[in-house]
Amino acid sequence: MKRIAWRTYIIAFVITSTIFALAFGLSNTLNQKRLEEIRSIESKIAVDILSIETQFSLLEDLSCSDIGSTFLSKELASIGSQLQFMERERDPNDPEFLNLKKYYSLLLIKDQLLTKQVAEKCNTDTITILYFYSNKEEDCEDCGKQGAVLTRLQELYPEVRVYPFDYYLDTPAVEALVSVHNVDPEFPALKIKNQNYYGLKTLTDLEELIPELEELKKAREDSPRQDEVEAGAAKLESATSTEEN
Amino acid sequence: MSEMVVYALLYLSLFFEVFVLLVFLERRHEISLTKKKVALPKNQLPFATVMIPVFNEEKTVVKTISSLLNLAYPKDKLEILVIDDGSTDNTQRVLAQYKNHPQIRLLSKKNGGKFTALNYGLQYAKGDIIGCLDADSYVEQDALLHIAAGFEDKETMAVIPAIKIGNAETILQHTQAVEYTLSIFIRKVFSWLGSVFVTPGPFSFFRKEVYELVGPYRHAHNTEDLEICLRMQEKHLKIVNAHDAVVYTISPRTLKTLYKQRVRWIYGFLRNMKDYYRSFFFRSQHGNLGFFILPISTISIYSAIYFGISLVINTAIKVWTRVGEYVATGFYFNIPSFDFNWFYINTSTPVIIGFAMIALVFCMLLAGLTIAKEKFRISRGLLFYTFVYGFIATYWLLSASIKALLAKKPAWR
Repeated sequence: MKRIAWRTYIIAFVITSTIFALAFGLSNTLNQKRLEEIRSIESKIAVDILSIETQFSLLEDLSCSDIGSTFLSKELASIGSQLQFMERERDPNDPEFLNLKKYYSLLLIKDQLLTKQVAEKCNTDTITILYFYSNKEEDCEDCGKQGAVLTRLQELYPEVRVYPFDYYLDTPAVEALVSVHNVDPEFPALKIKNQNYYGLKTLTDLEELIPELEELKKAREDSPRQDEVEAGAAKLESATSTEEN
Repeated sequence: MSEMVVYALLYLSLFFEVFVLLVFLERRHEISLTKKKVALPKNQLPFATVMIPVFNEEKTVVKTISSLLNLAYPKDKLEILVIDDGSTDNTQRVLAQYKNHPQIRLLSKKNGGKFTALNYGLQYAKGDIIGCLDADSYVEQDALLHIAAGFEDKETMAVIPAIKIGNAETILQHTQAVEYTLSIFIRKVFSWLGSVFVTPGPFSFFRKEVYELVGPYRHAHNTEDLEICLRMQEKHLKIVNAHDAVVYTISPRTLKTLYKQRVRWIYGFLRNMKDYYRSFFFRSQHGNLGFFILPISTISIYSAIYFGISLVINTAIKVWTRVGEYVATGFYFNIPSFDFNWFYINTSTPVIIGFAMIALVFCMLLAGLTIAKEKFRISRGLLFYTFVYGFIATYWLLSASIKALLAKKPAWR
């Protein structure tokens, strides 16, 4: 009869269980920290929105040049990618996470409405895309690709404002948005100008659907690049200082 | 459900690593003690027979025999039996140079497989201890002295060596060198636990009574070294590891030969487990071997397959998704941004446990290096072992498991 190393098994059990517990605890703590970070950015955006609304109330007294045109898009995009990451990495039905996502959708709607008002008031052309997706795999195989296309579109044309909405997010504001824009549950769905488009739209498709993009591209190509401008200024400055000497 | 399976397998794997490291920490002082044991007086050294089964080994057999002739062991206490198992190349001609050597006896038989060659050799072996050395292996000068020291304990019936890679040139061989260092650690720990279940072909030695007690070698799904060990364990015969007895083996150079070797080993292990699990699994009379080591070794094969396949599928899905995105956006390349943001680091529980497991594997590797008296260095073999080997190993683990399930014999070479 051979001896079994019971003592070692028990110690190994305790150590393994401790490592497991620590891993669960650490993972949970870091997820909580992520939620807190999103929450803090959302609060900041809420303040910004209030500030824009106040600006709007005073709009009649303000000139269009006093109103920023791209107030929130960067911060909203940053939250968007953080929420997208969390949606992938943890349970997307977690109530705490869903609350943050609903709040984010409300901020998006607010920002979109304000952008529209500024455009109307100041007669500016803003390209806005509303993007409706579904997280249900069977509903939308192409939503991942559509997301990548819209991200790339924004990299190429920072002037374009994209507002992504989870079609099935259980919140009255999104439901109202779906109803106002008559969006059917076919995904991916895009609302560009006053037209609804269904199914995957590639970058080329979007460039064809939005002719203004071509103009934006041309305008950028015609204007000198910032670094060239800076280099020119430096050259001029150095020439001036030589003359003075 | 699949989440539960993942956590259960992770727990078992982590438990195994923690357990073997604990055993090492408890017994590590014994590693330095063995060095003192080696200086046995000449008259106490047992007469040793080394059998070399040979089949088409014209390129390596001379090195193997030369290393035995160079052993620091009394010449009158060492005989070498070279058993040609019906070679069809120039092996016979190469061996002819040793026909008048006083320590060497050349034997020849019709081809029948390694186990038949060993059994044939046993009929001529005169040694008190009898060992085998594969013709693709060679030994360090003091290896047999360390093996002999292992038999000082009268209860010890078999002594197994530490095996190292002797010809690391390709990245695949350097990777196997890392793997063999881990094996040195595992073999030592299993020896301390009385749970050795393979007496490897290169330079394992047995007291001659072992063959009377358990019988000769069997075909045993082409893994006779594993099966005879299981028979010894069935009879509670003591097997120890002499980690200072170093033997070098020629490792497969190419993926194809490595694949064939590993499929044969894993197939043999699984088929032998099928034959012997009733005798061993969860039988307390077999101590740690039956209670934990054999069951966890079997589970670890399926666990590695599960994680390996998941890894391959996930990687394939990611690549496929990326390709799909490029089709939709057109190909572009953005210089990666090095702005560190902890937010996007995957900190899910399985990933954290996975990192803990990798850290423990490194501890095992360091322990293996301590036993082998080697120094740690970050090599390409280590990087390949850490990041790539798991993907490749899945292939032969899966292949061997399917063959074992269908009882379809893999090719020897």
